[in-house]
Amino acid sequence: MKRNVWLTVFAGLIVFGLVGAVMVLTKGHSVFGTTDYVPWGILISTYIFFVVTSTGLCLISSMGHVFGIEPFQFIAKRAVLLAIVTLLAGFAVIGLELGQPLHLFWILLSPNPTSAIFWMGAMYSLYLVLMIVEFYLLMRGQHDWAKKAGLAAFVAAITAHSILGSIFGFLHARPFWEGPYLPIYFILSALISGTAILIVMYFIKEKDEMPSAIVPALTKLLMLFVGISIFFSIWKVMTGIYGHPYGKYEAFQALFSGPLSWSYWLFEVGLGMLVPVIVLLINRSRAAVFWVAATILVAIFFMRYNLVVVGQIVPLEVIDVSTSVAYLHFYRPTWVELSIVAGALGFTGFAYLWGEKKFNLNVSGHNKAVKTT
Amino acid sequence: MARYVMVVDTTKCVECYACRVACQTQNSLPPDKSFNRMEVRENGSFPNVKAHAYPLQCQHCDNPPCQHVCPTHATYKRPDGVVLVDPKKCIGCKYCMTACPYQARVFGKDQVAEKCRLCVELLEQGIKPACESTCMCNVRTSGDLDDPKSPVHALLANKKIVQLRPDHGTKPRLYYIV
Repeated sequence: MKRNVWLTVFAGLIVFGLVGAVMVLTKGHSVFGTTDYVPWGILISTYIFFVVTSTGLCLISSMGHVFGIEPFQFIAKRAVLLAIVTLLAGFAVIGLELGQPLHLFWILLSPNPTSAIFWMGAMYSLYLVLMIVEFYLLMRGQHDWAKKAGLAAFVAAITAHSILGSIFGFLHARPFWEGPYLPIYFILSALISGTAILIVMYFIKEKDEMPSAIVPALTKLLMLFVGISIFFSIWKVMTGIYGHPYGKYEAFQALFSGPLSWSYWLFEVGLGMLVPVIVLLINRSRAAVFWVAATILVAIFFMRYNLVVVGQIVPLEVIDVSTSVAYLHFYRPTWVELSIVAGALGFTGFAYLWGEKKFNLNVSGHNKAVKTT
Repeated sequence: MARYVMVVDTTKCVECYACRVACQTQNSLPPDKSFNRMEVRENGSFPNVKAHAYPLQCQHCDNPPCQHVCPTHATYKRPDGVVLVDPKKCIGCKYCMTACPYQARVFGKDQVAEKCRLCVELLEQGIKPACESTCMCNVRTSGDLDDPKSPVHALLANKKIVQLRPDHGTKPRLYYIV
């Protein structure tokens, strides 16, 4: 009964997303809030959000069925299924964000090896294939082969996701993004997302008698990763404001007190860093852990939005670095962009619930299966 | 083989925006899109201040970041130095728009990232680009570096020449007299 309610909600979101998809496919990017000055908007950050979730699920669930850490072994099938679903949702979002998705075959006919987007496309496609193979093998109970596929997917996930970070890191024209920070940070961010979403999934499926040992383990991991993320963020801020470097300093002003300040203080710093640390320090009850994990997922969505938008709203200094400009470019998502975001979330929920019904995900006894084979 | 360059004398520019209008007409661009843009900088301190207008467009870099990041080779550089976009290969990912340090790219109505083509189809016939021929103050001068008779040589030799953001290592083909 409850399941049907959720399916209806998710189906509604998908329909809303399809309306947005039709809008953009017929009218082009004029229905987006993006401009020539801010060409990448919320759909890029949403794409990153989905693939960061998929990557994180792959990395954290690998601890169980690839690296053999006991408490993680019971969630493998669910994690791999959701990783595939979130990756497909991400692909749908980026497909609608492309101005000419039908031209995509040129990436095969005329690939440019110096383009990070080419490598990202190649690696995420490989990752998708490996995850599907892994899921198939897990369902067949062929755990030895699933482990090998899982290891390959683990390597592909780290490669693909750091390449996604490098898409930004390679842009010497964009001071906020440029450098080795983002490829590294993206992997950390995937670990947070993966841990948080596994906690959420565990509590939603609690009735199915998964071992409760996984919760303290995941909670400790979550605290560790959030702590590292605070450490990363502090040094990103410090190097960005020390000496007022052009492009970085203005970007942080936009985050601290400019157009993105609500999203930065409330979501990125508040819900993404301070609330998890404070709550987990004073209360580690099951409910608290669940809500912290859910909160972090929401916060990561806004973190990606901040990262993508703030890198572009500071005007490029085209003439000379010494004559900085005292304004910011404007970007606000339109309802069409938000509908595609909603549709992708609906697709994730719907496809996951469908998959859960379709496949038997409960019998996950890794060791047991190995013994019987 | 030609080596096309353009010299822009900002000291002559009166900011009439005729170049922008000519470019939009030549390329059938809507009013809110242009391959040509004007940035104004104020220099000095009161009362000795001066406004300086920089007409900006694609710099046709010899080391173009937009070409390096393009996943499908839709952006390419011709042997004569002109950087062009093949619209049939462009997937509309807008990576070039974020990679260009000069904010030269425009997302056009065909959903591909376009930009100044240096009116190459005119240049090849020895005709000046639209922005150059319409200018009443002769701000822009295009020419072929391999052509000893080209007027660009005199301009490049005699005046104070700068390139925009040379620190990016893009090696632009547009030279500015300031």
